[in-house]
Amino acid sequence: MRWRHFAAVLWIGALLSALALLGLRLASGVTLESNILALLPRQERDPTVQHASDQLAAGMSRQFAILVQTGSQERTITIAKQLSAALLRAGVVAHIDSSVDPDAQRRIGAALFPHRAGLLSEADRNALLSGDGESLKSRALGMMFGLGGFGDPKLLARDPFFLLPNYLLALPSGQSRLSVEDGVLIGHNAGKTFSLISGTLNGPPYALDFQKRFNQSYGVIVAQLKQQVPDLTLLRSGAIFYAHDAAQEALNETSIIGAVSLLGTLALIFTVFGGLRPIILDSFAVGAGIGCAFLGTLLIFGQVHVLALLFGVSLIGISVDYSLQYFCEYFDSEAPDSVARLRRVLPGLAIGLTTTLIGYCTLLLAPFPGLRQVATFSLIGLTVSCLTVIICYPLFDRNVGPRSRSFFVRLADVHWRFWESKVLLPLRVLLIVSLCGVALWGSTKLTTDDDVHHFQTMSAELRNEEAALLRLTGSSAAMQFVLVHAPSENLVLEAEEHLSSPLAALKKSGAIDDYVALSQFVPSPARQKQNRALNEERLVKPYLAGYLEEIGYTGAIEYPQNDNIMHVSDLPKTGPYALVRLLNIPAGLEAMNIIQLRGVNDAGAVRAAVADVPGLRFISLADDWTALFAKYRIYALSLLALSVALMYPLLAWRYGFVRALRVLAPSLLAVLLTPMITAALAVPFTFFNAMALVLVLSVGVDYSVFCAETIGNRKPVTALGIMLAAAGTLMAFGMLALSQVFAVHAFGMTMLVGILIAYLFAPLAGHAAARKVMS
Amino acid sequence: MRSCVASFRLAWVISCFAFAGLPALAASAPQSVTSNQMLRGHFSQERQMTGFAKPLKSEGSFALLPGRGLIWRNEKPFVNTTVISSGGIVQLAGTQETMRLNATRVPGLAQLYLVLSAALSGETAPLKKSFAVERNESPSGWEVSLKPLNPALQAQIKMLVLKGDRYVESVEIDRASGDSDHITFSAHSVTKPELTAEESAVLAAAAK
Repeated sequence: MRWRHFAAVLWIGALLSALALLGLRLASGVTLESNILALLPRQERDPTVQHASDQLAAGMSRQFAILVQTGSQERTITIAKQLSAALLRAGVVAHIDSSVDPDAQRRIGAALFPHRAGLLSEADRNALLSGDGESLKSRALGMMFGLGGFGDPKLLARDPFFLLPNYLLALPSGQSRLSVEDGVLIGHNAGKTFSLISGTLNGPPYALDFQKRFNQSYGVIVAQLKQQVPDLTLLRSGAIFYAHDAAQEALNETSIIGAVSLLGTLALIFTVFGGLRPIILDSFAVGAGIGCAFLGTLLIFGQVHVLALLFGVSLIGISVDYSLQYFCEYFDSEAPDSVARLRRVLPGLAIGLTTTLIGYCTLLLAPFPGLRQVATFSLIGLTVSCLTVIICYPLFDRNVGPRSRSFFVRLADVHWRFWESKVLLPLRVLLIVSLCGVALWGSTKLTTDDDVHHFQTMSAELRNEEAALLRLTGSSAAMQFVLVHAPSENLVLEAEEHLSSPLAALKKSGAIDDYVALSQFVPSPARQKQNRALNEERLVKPYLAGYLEEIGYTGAIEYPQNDNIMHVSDLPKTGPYALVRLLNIPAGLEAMNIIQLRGVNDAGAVRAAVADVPGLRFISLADDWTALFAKYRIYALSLLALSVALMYPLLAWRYGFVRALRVLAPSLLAVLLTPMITAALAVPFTFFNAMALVLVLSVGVDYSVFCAETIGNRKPVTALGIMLAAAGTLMAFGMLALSQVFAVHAFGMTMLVGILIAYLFAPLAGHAAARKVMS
Repeated sequence: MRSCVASFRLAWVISCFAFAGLPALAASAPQSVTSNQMLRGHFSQERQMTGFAKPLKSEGSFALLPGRGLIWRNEKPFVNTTVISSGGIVQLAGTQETMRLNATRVPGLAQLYLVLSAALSGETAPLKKSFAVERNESPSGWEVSLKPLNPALQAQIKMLVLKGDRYVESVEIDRASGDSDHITFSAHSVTKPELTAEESAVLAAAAK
């Protein structure tokens, strides 16, 4: 007996230190990752694409846009300025990129000014290439002599042909439908005036504390503005709003599910077993499990994804299975004390735990970081729970002697008799036939759905706001781009320049609406040198003297003589062109740029255009993810087969080859029928359904194993055990089916139907161990 | 670059006053141009700038169509055409576009075109928003001086002086840098909106 005490003390000591560690970790702040897209698999086959997507996503996630709309232009402009200033004051915004104040323009001009000798707009460059320097001279003359005089004499001295202003004017602009008024971007729609405010956040949008701070400040500011201008409407776009929304939703659901699961399970235990001690013991086992799981996940991954938390909370429903099996022994007449009780259920617990662990381990194989977290969380939680039952219960459970068969045991027995009684055979046949009927009907309605947009928890409200915002401003959500890869920055810009004529052709044919490339802002060094030479040979040498004479300028000309090549790092960091810098992806020693495509109407044409060129790839993120989800949906089914293959040897060792199949039968039946039955309920089959089936198999096998291990008098007791276990599991996972998150909902529905079927058919396995009796 | 922006705004202001009737300001009856008429005339511009041996002189004709735009046709020392409309400013050599400035890209252009329309209908309120207005009237005509209120514009322009009788006859621009521009108008005539083929082509090219 002493070693049992020793083990228990050791275990409790370990649990307490884990608790202390958890407390410390929580105190220092926990990052709850709420970005569903962080669940997506790493594209191992193409790390460059993955890197580019990650960087782009990280950069873009810090952007936000707000559209303010009132009935009058003046009010709109005032509100826009107030909102920008207030956001900056609150410290949640690093800078506002949409303000086009004279400062912003001066900054751009100043940034490019030293490099002006190498900068030529596309049109000017083509004119010089075709030997038409005359037209540039005429234009400059027109500017000097024209109405009111556009040409500024000070600029003349430094840029006699005004090439830099023309270069700046030719740069692509962000919003096609907006104009600038009083330093603010505005547009008109249906008699109202709106203004776009966009900028960069001052913190990580997926960190909960920053989210809270931002949304608080935003709420206060908006309330104040609405008081000032009652007819003010706002549209929002940006990861900060979605992230907050998603995190809120997930946390709400977690707390609800957690609360209901816990209370429900405790109520169940109290009702059936009576007394406070079972409740305390159960809470202890489950609590230890979840606490250690949270700590373990935090230590291993550094952060916890809210989905892992959500699934983890539903662990309450599964880990209680072990406690329940133990407590049901209260009704076993042959178990006089706690140690005996444990001895009777130990084989069942051990095998049940192992099969469940096998199921979760296969989840670890899936290359989805989010699912690995879920698997780790569950593995640790279940193991700790089970071990707590095994190590601690015998010592703390003072309940002596069996109790009389309660009503519940008799109720559970009905379930077992259903399968054993010869009289009820027609009923059994009816059950199987009707289930198969529903399944057959459902199989005709079976659809698959891999659209990644379902897995983004954007509330309908936010989605509509974003759509309206994009429509009004004429911008598009950029999720398609061409990745350009080259050994150095210079070469990558040159590669982009080679693409300019195919891209122009695509634009002309309507395959794309527009594109934005870094090389449009920063020509490659080779091109800058060429521009310089063109300037010198075809413009300055033939025409400068004559031009200056015509306008009668006698002063000096200061044109940069040395090669002052402009680099990407020379672009200003704030202001309207700040986002252009995002097109450059830091990639170690190599260089990677993104050419952002707007309005891709014919993806096939774009793919064809870049197909044969090395270093170029057309990326369409949404399509790629959808294809990926489809692939992994099929992959998940092979994981299922793997689970079965891994469980079988263990079961065969215990029950013999043939009877092991009987033990597996209920779960296998569940796995086969569930997709079709859920299809009948209009739930499409997705990757998450497939993953849920893996869990259905492992949890379902638990019930079969418990039934297989029981014999004689203990049958009703075991039946009660699995009835309560199924009730707890259904309660926990069933609630997931109510989730707003599509992925979680699909998962929950599959678990609901699958567990139900596995439970109903579990006693079928009971006959397996009939002759292989425990020693 | 910034000076270019201010210069464009200036061009607008000038055209706005060149052709504004300003009925409320003048003792003599000034002519205003309605939307089913057009105004034609000659101009002569002299730009005085530091660093230049002599002032830059240009001459030509203009045609104003309220609601559609202003066609400014330079004839001496070389031929080119500028079209100013609510969409922006376009410079053309023949029908070939040499420079285009969209109102959406350059701040102030759209607003100033609105000021132009407002002035044509006789409303001076929009002008008072951007300028401090001072007027003198005499038997031979009127004189209006405008000083910009906007600091960005103040940095470029010190003052605008307009003189006229029935129509605006001269515009003088004093810039902050010490340079000045002097434009005189003559041979005004208000007619039905009949455009020459060239003018129609140019307006069409500018509208694209």
